[in-house]
Amino acid sequence: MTLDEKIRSTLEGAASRVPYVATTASDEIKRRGRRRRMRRRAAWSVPVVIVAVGALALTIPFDPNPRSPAATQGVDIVEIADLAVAVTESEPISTDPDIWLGLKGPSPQFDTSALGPDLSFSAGEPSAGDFGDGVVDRVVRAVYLGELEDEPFYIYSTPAPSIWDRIFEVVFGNFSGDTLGTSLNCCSGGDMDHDGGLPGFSHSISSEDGVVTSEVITAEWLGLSTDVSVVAYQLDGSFIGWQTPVGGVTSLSLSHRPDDYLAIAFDASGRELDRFGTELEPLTDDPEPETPSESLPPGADWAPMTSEGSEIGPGDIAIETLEEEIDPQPGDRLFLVPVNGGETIVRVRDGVPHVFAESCQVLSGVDLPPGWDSSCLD
Amino acid sequence: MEREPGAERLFPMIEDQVTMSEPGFVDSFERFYSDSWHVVYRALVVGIGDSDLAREAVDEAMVRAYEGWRTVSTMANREGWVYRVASNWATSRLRRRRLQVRRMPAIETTNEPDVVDPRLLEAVRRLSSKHRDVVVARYLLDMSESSTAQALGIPEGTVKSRLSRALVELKEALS
Repeated sequence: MTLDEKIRSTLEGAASRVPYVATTASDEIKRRGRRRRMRRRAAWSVPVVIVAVGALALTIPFDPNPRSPAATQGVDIVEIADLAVAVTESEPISTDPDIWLGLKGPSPQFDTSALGPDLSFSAGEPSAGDFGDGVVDRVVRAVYLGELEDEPFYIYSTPAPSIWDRIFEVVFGNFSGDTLGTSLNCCSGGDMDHDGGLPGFSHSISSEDGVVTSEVITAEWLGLSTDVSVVAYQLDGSFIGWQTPVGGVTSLSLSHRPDDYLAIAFDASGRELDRFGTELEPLTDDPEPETPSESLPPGADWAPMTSEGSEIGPGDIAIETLEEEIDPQPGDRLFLVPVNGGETIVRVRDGVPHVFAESCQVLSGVDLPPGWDSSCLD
Repeated sequence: MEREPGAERLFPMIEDQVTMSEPGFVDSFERFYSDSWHVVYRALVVGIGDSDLAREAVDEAMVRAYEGWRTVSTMANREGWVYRVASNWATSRLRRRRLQVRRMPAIETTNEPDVVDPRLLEAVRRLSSKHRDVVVARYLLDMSESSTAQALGIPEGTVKSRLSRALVELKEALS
């Protein structure tokens, strides 16, 4: 029996022993929906507000964080579904739909250089036209947070769009989506899970036959206190950047789905207020942010293991099909690394290494560092 | 869609807003649900060895499929999509609970037929989630490389690479 046959028979044999579970769609979906809504609130530590996604705009003085009552007294809050969003004024700055400006957190008064680049929202002009024809009529109220990656960023609610409370965003141009890890009408979504994984969502762009052609992965932290000055994101051990929240919201698009992540919220003095991630640690009063290992060029931590790795250009890729697979883009770095009697090419894109080889056999013998992915042709 | 008087109205809030204009919405999801739930559940149980977690994960994935049914229903590989979402969710939960595969209960093999190699099954469960998903998709869900790539949202070359590396690990586990 070949290994293939053995795997197939073992998996099918084990599967045949799994008892049939009688379940109906209606019961499960309803039950799960209720449970999930409760978990979401717990997971986000969103302050308790009345869920009133209706036509009545509402701003109330609110204290979104019991840690710092003094810092948030008198702050105007707009409710977007079950999320309290701090805004600059009690009245909308424009109507049809009602749009408020999000309140920016305090500027950091400490050295953020170890946390990576400042990826904060930049100022811009909100406009009803940002929503597009298909969305604007459904918007009950919206909060404009600024420009992110040269695109307007809003969070907004619509009238009772589903059985769950929802918060939507306008981001990435015309994309509107549910921020809570799932999708309504645009995305495959669901990969990021707020209960156990990195909060955010993935936005898969599919062709008509359902083939995923590209993907945007987003990390988000909503419902932050108004005294949060910096949220720093660490992926797979390195800080990739930080943001000052606007309206208690931070959002970053990621180059890949991390195995490990950590997000830390600091106040303006650099004191840690909160954190979440795959390695949850107790809060500390005086954190020393980890220094990212930026002294080595990307890929260099692996290439020297062969003692033969060398940087190459896109034109040095001899095999056409491999070049198509690698798909070199401006800004990529490529390393040719001989291994196991064959060759691999390491592509480093946005700091993320990916190993390519023509031969899957050659590649399967390479002991890749944790978090590295690979592709081969046959 | 006409319903019999007194028949239970499923998902009433959604139904009110969506199915008035799209009568097949709920029915098509229910068909998909009844056809696919157990298939995905079974694959997850085999892969992660935890039936409770698998059930919860498939339920979660089905909720998401329902939420995004307008899009998901148009996908060529809807079952694969649900498997991917469920697997990712289960992996997140495992990570959160810090219940790595090595801490899972011993695999019960006494009642399994002879075709099940317990060492191999345990080795599959010890694979990283990325590698395990490819193995389960290819060998148990019987997806082609192309369908696997589509379901997992990765290029075909990465499917080949992950499968190749997984097979090396499984071979080593058996040797």
